[in-house]
Amino acid sequence: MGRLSCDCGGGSPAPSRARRRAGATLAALLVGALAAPAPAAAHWQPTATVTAPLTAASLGDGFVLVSGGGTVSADRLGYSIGGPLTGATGYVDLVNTSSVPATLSLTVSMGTLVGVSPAAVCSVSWVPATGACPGSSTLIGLTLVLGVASGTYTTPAPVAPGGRVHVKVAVGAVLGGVTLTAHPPVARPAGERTRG
Amino acid sequence: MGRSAGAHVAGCTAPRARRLGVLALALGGTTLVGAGALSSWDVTADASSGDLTAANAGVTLLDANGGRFTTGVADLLPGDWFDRYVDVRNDGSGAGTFTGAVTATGDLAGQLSVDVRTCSAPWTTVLGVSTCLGTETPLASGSLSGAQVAVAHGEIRTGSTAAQHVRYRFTFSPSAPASVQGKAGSVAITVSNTLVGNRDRTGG
Repeated sequence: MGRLSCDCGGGSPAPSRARRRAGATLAALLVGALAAPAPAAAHWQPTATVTAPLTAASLGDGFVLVSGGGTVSADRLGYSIGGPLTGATGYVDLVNTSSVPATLSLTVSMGTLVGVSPAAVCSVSWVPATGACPGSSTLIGLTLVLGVASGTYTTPAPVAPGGRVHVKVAVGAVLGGVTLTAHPPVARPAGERTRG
Repeated sequence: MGRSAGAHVAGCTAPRARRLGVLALALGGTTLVGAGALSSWDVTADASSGDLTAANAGVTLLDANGGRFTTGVADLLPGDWFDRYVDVRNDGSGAGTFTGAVTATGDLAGQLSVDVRTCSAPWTTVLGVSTCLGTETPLASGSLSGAQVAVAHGEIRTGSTAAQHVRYRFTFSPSAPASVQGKAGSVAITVSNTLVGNRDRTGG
């Protein structure tokens, strides 16, 4: 016993110390088993993906001078022709620059109204050489309010992208000249687009 | 003498006879062993497991209700919406729990939202209206601005007849700013079936 105690380096009996050591080892193993994460298992993860492309519409319009006099503004939203002492005729188109059909409209205004309206719309391009409308023409009616004559023309149906409203303005010597102003195009209402 | 001679003879022949006897015994033993005449007790028991097969995992997204998910939509206007119909089919060897996600990318990502729902019967379109003739169950909904919308498809059994009929309704924000006019983007759906073992399969 004395020899065993000496060999073990302690005063406790060897069998008891061995049992404690074994117990401690077992406890450590149990704790480790409980605390350690489960072995990482491979994940089998089949995945399927599909994609659909989308684009947003763009809306816009603007004047393009076709022939004759007058000036289109830098933003293409205005056109003016004539002045106090000068008369002129201009052919200008309002172009639908949208990516979708849209209803276009423009307002004609002038400082005073003498005789009939100076602005008319043709269903097809005007013939500047003769001033004739090969299709059907519509005179843009003006109303005098507070000394300013104005009237608005709206296309009866949406105009296709790139489509045009053909306007002819023939003005005599008018104070302030004649001004055309383009309004924002109006597209269709929101709707279902499941079919693209 | 005779006896002595005999003894001598006997003394000379006895070892030879013993050797012959031993040889004969050896030969005989070999013959017996070769003929299997000696018995041996050799008890062996064999057992084989039943067939073991690894699981098979697979998922397929099938276009449904006459449409194609990949069909693009151009010229979206604020407030527009569109539906995409997909049947999620479990091509694996067993039922599984499926998860998915809906994402949007590009300049339109922040202006899109999605509503995901499933129908117990295939989706149909009646007089232009998306219709579920079975039981309709919402799965997920939310904005796709900067984050994906997670979809919990739940358990789907294997085979075509058990496919989950899903409708994704995407809406372009009614308040989308003019700054996104003409811009592009895309929407995508992903469906996964994650299989992890680590289970006691003693019972089969």
